[in-house]
Amino acid sequence: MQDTIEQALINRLKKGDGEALEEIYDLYAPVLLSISMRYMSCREDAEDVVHDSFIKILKGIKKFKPRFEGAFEAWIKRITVNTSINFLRNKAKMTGINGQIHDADTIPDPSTIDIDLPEKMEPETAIKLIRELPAGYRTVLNLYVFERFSHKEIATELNISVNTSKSQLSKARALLRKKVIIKYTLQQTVEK
Amino acid sequence: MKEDKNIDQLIRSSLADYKPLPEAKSKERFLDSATAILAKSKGNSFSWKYLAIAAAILFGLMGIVYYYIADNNSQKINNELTKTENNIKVNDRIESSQEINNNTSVDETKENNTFNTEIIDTPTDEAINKEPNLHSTYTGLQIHSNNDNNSKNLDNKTFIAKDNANKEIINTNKLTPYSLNDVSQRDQFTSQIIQKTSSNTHLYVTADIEEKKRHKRPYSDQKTLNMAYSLNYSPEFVFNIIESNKIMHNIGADVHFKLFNNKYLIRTGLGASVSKGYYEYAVDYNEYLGSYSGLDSISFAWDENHYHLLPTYYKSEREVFDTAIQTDISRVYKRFTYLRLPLVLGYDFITKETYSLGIRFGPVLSVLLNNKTLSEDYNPDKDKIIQINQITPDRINTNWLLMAGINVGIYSKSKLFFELEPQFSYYFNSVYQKYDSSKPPFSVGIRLSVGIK
Repeated sequence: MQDTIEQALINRLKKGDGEALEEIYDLYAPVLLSISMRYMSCREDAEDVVHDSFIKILKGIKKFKPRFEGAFEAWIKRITVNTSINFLRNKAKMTGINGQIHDADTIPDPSTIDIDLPEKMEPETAIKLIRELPAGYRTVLNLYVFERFSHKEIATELNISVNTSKSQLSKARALLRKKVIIKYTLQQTVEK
Repeated sequence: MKEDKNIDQLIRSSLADYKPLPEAKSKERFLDSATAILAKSKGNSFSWKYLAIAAAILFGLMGIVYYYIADNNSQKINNELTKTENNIKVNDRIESSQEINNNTSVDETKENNTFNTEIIDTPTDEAINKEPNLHSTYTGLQIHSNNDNNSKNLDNKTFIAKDNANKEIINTNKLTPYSLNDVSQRDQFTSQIIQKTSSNTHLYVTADIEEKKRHKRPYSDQKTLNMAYSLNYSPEFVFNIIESNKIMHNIGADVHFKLFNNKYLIRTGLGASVSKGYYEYAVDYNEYLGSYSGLDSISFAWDENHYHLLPTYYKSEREVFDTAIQTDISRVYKRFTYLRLPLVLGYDFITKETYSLGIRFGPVLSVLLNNKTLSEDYNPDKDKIIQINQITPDRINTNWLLMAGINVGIYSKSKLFFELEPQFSYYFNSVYQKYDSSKPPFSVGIRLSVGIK
């Protein structure tokens, strides 16, 4: 059913139906924003990425041919991921910031090793913690955990070595874990 | 490892259903941009529809031209048959050809000249094409024949008197019509013709209106019929455009079809239009101020001999940029090549053997084929570029204009002809994709052309 609606929307968009634009934005903008917000450090940048992604989708829609169910959503998600990475890459070029990482942050605190992670976090909290990660860590973590890229694919995408990818992921996990535990330990302490 | 999976699972599950709503202004911004893209996309397809329509019109007109040519040919064959038939009938009634000696008339008008005049009706095509042998090859009706009792009103046909020596054509429409039965009228008619011609020559009168047209036709070669081919060059100065370089060079090859008494023309063909322009960019940057060697890290080694630490400094070169953002305007010069497809209609007011004068007008479709970057005058050096915004809008892919001009044609005795055509062109849409100016561009130019009949 969803696929039929999706196909109808795509067809209308291909014909240049202005109303289909709004419908497709309402349907998919939240999905794309959830992706871009994981990559970007601020919401404004994430919204810019969604905007650019939709423009790319619109320009490429005539060439898009769905080859399997859900192909459209997969396609637009991939566009958003690529746009996010390009955005970060351009921003890094312009600002010269390569992510000021302090290794001390990623060294596991012995006191946190045995602490169990919570079962679930609020999405806003999870996003906030991910966005606090340095850009390099964040990107690798996103590609590996959410987009399910292999290290080889990440290395190709980001033009880094496989070992760097593994190393960045490891550090990202450690840092994120530390942030989660601090966040929840602090929360529990405050609650007590 | 287990911890790794836990953290992965945690963030994945936490964000599984996370779908934040974008801000309303983001949606508006997207819809504005998207509508513009859709409009542009529609605009392009609209132009291609026009291209298809233009092609259909072109082929339709070509079909009409070929039909006209074919019809013209069959009509000529019919005329030939009719003429031959008439000649046979008339010759039955005529005992012999007879030359008229209008010595009386001649003596009155041209002293010391003896006119040996022969008035002949409806010569054949061969006779016209081989003018020096006209007299010898033609065996038509001699209208002054004593045996001819037919009354002939000249209003019914257009008569041409041809002076064989000076190759002048005299239109006898304005002469007094006469009846073949009336000898005085006939002599008066003959006298009028003689007065208009030079001396000592044969006069031929033709009643074939088509022959008259053929003699006046600039493209006189009947085998090529009414078609001609030409190469043209036309410099064009365009106004109401952003760039200061207004000159455009057009070259092309045309095919001309002359219709309906050679007064009307259809001209089409292929051409290329080459112009130079530039795109302006606003470049925001942080100025490069210099560099220094920054300390990355220090490692220490224990010097056992001296009982102290030996530091090793790891440094890297660091560049320093001004924090203030400055803006430069950069220009990228480009050459634009358009394919031009004209469909020009024309009407000639004057058509003589050696020249013609008329008007030309019609639409011209331009399709962008290529834009090549010629030079860039911006060198950022070591400055850190923040962003680049294109100021000058992109050139449009397809463009329509309406051209009107005055055409002067000069025809040589050979097959060559030359044309000079001052033109004015009005562009239906801007040459830019996004240009808010309410004034559409217009241009003036001159078309120089050389061709063969």
